[in-house]
Amino acid sequence: MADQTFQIGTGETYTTIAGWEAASDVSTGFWKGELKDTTAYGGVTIAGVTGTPSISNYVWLSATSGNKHSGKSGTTHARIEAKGAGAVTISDDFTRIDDIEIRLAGSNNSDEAIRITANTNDVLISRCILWTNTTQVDKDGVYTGNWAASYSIDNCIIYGFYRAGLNIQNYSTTSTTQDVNIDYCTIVKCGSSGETESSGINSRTGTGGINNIAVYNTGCFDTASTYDDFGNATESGTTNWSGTNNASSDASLTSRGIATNAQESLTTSDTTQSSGSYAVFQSKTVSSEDYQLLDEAAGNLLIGNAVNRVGSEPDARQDFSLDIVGNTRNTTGPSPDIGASDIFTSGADININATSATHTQTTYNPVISYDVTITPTSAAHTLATFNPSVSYDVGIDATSKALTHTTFNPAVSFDVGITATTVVFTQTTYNPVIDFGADTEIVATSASHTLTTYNPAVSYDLDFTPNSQAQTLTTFNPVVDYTYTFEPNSKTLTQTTYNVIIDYDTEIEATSQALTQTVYNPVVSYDTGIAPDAEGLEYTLVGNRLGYEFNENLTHYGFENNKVHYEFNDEDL
Amino acid sequence: MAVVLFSFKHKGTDQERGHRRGDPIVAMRNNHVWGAGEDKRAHLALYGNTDNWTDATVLIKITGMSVARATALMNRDTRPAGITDPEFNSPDAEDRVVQLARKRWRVRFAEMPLAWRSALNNIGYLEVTIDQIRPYFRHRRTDTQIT
Repeated sequence: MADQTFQIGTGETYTTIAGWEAASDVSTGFWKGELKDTTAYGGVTIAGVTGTPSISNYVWLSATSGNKHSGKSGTTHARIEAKGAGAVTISDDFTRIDDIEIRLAGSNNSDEAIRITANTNDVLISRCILWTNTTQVDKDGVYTGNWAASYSIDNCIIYGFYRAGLNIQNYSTTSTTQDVNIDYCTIVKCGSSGETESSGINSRTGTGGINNIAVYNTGCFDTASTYDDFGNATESGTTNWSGTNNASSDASLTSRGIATNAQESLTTSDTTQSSGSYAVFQSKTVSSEDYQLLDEAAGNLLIGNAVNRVGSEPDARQDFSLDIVGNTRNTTGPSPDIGASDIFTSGADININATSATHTQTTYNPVISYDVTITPTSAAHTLATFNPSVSYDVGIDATSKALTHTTFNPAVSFDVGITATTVVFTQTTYNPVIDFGADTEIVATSASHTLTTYNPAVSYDLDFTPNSQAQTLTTFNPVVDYTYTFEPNSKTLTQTTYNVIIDYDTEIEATSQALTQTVYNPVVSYDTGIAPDAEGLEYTLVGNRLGYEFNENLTHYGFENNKVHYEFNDEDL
Repeated sequence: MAVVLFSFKHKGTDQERGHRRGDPIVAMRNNHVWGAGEDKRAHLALYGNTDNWTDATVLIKITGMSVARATALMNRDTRPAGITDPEFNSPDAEDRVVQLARKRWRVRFAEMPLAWRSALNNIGYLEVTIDQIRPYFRHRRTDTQIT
């Protein structure tokens, strides 16, 4: 037996969380339960696991990959709805909870979404939504009371708890210590009741009590006006606050001495703010709250103001490269965002130096406009065999996935100046206009007009719109203007015997399909702005069956029908 | 009527927090289909043997007991800190309690008739009425029967 993972739900090995928890055994690895159903599960107490919990052997409650929340509360994903002193109560060390929504649905006072009981340490809570819409007093998101405990929490959205989002209520007078690590959390409208200890994050210590609170990249907003978002509500012991890059709707980060790179006095909003000092979320509307970030407008000061903490995770099971829904955070270039959600941006310019003929960006579907300058390097003017060098600027606005140049039909216009350098110019199929008059004109008497001795200088403007990929002048019908005065009115001008010097400007407008540049070796440089919500950016270029112990109450045992039976003096059972 | 999942062995070493033998764990309606990790009969049907059966739990169908009534018997056994009256089980406003045991009520398997115990040992399942199980379903400390 090593690590064990079970789905919990209809038709599974365990149909109830309680049944799964009752069988938990971490003797040889973690014991993981994944909530599979979309109906709400009841609460659970995680306590008394078989085996000794450790960083690799622990109880782990999560959701199946297809049943994780999308960053906001709802009814189509894994969730727990329960009341009581801890909708989820944790009494086993190293217990891990992630990717589920926990709603405190009760109507009692002093309830919590998660209660971590006395002397329970190294609990990990990641990527969860903790919330309530009940209005009784003493409601907390995560609660640790008058006892020693420790936990880490990251990438969680916590809202609606009347007293505190995280209440580190170490009011003991017996010198207990609580260690709490908070990273990338968004805590809104907690402590809104204005009762004692109202805060987004509250620290309370009794005489001799010590709270060590390390908080990074976390925002607390909209606590009742006379209380602190980051609060020391009642303190006769010691709270050691540490951390940077946090945000608040008041000045309590300064009060707590953790104002390094802080964003204070922000106003929460759910509409785009192009300037000012705001924390801008998707929705603040009651009953449809969504505290993921709305956009990257300049007034949203949660954007890009966090510090990259990858590699500094307090718990080895944490991964700070991901946000609440598993999206990758900015960890290079632009800074990540404060709070549980992150809007990934490419940020600065991206330069691509093509080292092969074909430039394919299979994961983007940009709109492209660029200028092309082609300088011929050989005499023959046949685009199908021409080997120009190309340079162009590209502006890419990513709207969806793929950029493929292989099937593009451009519209081309260019000017051509031709200087004939050989003798023969044959127009074997031309019928000129013949005119006799005052001036002597050439009289054409036959269909074929051959100018075998003439070396013309040819200059003309040429406009054409190719309908296929190959651009070959041998099939083109230009308008030609030269020293002889005649106008072709039929047939084809073939320039197969001329060596030309060509100079032209080309404008290509994408109208459909793709432009094949298979014989080009471009150097590409462009600025890129990549819109939010892109799926990704890939730049290819850059029982023992009687295993329990009998005690002194065992009175006798024996075998019957190939089964072992036992009897106890049950005074203590 | 309710089908109640009971702990069939002491779990872990934490006397106050872990399930003890006889603790009710969760109650579901009679039509609930239990999983192979909860129902020994389902385990046997699925695997054909009990090699990996944990013996951690058994199921008892209790005719005459509702799910709500059964669930109410699953409260933890607590008393407020500093209060010695063992009958005081209600937490104060801050839930400042001492948890004495994970469950206040439990069944006494050892006192059950041999046929009952054989059924629980062999197939992990038993059907009884509330009147039949009442003498064995008692308060952890006061030893009073359920009503």
